[in-house]
Amino acid sequence: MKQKFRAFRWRMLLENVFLGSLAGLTAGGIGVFVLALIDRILVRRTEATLAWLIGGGLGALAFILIFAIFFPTKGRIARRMDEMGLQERVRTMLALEKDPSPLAELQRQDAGKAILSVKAREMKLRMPKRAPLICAVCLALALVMLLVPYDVFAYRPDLGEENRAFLEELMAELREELLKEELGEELLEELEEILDQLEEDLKSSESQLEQAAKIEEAKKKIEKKLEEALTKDPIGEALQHYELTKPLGEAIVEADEEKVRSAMEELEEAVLENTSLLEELATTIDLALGEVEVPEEDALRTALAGLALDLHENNPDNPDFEEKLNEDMEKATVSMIVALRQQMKTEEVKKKTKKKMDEAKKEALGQKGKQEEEETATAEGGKEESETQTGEGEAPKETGEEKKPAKEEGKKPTQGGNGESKDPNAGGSGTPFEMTEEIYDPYSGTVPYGKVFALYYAEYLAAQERGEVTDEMRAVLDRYFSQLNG
Amino acid sequence: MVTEKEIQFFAEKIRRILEEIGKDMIGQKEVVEDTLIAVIAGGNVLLEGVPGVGKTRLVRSMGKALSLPFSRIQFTPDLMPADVTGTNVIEKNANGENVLKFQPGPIFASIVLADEINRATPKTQSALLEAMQEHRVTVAGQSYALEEPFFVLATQNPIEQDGTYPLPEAQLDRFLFLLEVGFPSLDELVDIVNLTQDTMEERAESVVTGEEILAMRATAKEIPVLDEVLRYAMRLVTATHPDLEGAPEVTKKYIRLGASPRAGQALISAAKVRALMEGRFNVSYEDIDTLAYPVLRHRIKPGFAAITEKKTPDMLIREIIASVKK
Repeated sequence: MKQKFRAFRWRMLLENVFLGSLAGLTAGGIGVFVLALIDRILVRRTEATLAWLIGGGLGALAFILIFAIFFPTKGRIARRMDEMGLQERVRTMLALEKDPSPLAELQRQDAGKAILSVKAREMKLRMPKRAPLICAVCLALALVMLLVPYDVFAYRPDLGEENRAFLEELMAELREELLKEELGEELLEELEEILDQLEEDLKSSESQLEQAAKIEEAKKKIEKKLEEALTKDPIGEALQHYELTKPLGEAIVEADEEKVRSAMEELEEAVLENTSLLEELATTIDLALGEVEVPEEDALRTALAGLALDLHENNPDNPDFEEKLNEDMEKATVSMIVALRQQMKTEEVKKKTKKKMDEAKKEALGQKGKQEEEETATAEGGKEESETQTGEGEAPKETGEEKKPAKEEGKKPTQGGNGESKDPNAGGSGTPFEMTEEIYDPYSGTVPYGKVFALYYAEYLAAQERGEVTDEMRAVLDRYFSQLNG
Repeated sequence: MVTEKEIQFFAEKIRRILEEIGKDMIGQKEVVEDTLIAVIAGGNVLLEGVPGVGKTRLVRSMGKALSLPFSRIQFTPDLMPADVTGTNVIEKNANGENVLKFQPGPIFASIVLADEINRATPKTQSALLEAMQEHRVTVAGQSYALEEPFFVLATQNPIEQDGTYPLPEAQLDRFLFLLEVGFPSLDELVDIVNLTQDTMEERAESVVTGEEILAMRATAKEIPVLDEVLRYAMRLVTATHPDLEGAPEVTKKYIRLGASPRAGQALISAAKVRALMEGRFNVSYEDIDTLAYPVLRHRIKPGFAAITEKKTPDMLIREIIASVKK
């Protein structure tokens, strides 16, 4: 009898696990679906960890709940056995378990015989017919919702197919240009975050003017990040303050691998000649690093700090002093070279990204067409002013020598893309930013709109977000910027 | 305390009774079994069927098999209550004085066949009320106990309604079962004709005495009923009441009046006997479901909607069982 009960219990446990799993998957699916839906309504990315936590948590909870609710107790097993045609014999037997009367005994005997006639494997699994279907639907819904772009409900001002293509191309190029493995994992993550935000901002921008402002804003952020990563100059300069490490500092500033290697070799030789320099060198490096504000985890700083530590630990009295010194110096040299290479790459990326973003900004402001025409015109005239306009970020420096002839020729307003002459302060249609030769004169106190417009507009938007712009002023400024942008 | 011997005795007697009745009754197995259940449970039975399907024969045969005092009352519109219960008559006693002496009526038997009960007036029908429920008769302020076991097996014709007096609810409620005696099948009909060619007399022999019937009743009462089965039976009864909270839709729509608590008692008493007859020592849901029809069909009053939609009580009971099981 007990064996029979055990067989039925196992069968029901199996059923319970199956039912619990279905319930768990359903609950998990619903949880993930709701999370994904909320994320899409709030236009934010669904975090995989959170989705797993919620889905898994709800699933586990549902499983435990179902398992506990339908756990095969003696009474439940008896009920299932009775339902196999035993006509409540088993449950009555359990109810009369402690009854010593002859009738109860007869009942138990009768139930015992009846129990032997049923087999556990003949017991049909019981579950709601639609449970697997509901489970599948919930899982499918969750999956579909996860596959739906997170910004599907985001407000999308339609600035035309051309603009969309431009944004897509821009983002693809920026990602390709900026996200180089050599920059290091942490920096890459930060840059990717900025690019994601930029993409989102660009999509939700209501005008190209705003897009330009957002590009400018992102550019500043990226430049700042990359700038922070370039630590060779402050560290190199700090090392130059000390006589002992001056050559090494110069080599680091120049980011010249050979010079770094030779400076390190010289230092090693100097220490070997005069072992009292060992401690001095270590202290000098410590002092120099103490002067600069560079993150602790910076690779160059780590390399130098490591060297200083190794030098502190080394002892000229040790028999393997020379060997260890050489080993430490070599290790530090390699680490510094790796860090410098990374920084060189960062510098390169910085330049390229800046150029790319400047171009994108111009295009967003509608300057590109005009600029191209101007380039054509100047090429025909044998002049090079247009080049200064293309690389506007570098314009004042790079065009320093060329600006005089340009200035002389550019006393009059230059022609716009449409060939018409315009007052730079005038709004209206057509090309909004008229460049004159005067604009390129750094001493004239004037700057081209194209150079500063996005910057100013970004500042304006930021001030607006901070609540520093009154409603009255906002109306005026909105009109001002929109008129400037044509 | 019921012993194994008593159980075996019960089973043996049931087998013998059915065997004996089977000599006179062809087919109608369910009706015979249900009648026997009612007799052992101590209830009255109302047999309903068209003329000639063997209602009276069944009762007569049962009377013979049970070896109990049997009387038959043919109900007619001019039948008076005293014709049923008996009356006081003037007699001279030993001193030559005139005294009133109670002359027992045909009700003073163990098995009373009330043939075509709906043909008598309500006044006469109600003369049976006390006898059926309390197994007593009161005449002229004097109460007389009826000999146990006592039960009334009544018959009625459901189609000829002219000149009949439908039984009032109070009286219907006193019948444990209302059994519908259907028309026999072709083969059964052939057997019936062959059987009755020689003689119309019942061939059943007496196999059980009144005391034995009472002992069997006592045995059946000991059969255990699971609390949940008991509750299920009571839920069925309450589900016939349209005005009770949680009544099924079918009840609300089609039933005007639900079954009385007596129906619940009847259901459980009969279910215990059925279980034992089936060789079981516990009451099952199946017992309740099966017996719900004869127990409830005369105790529920279908409403206007049921009549217009031709919903029979059995159809309604089936739907109620289904809704309660949900």
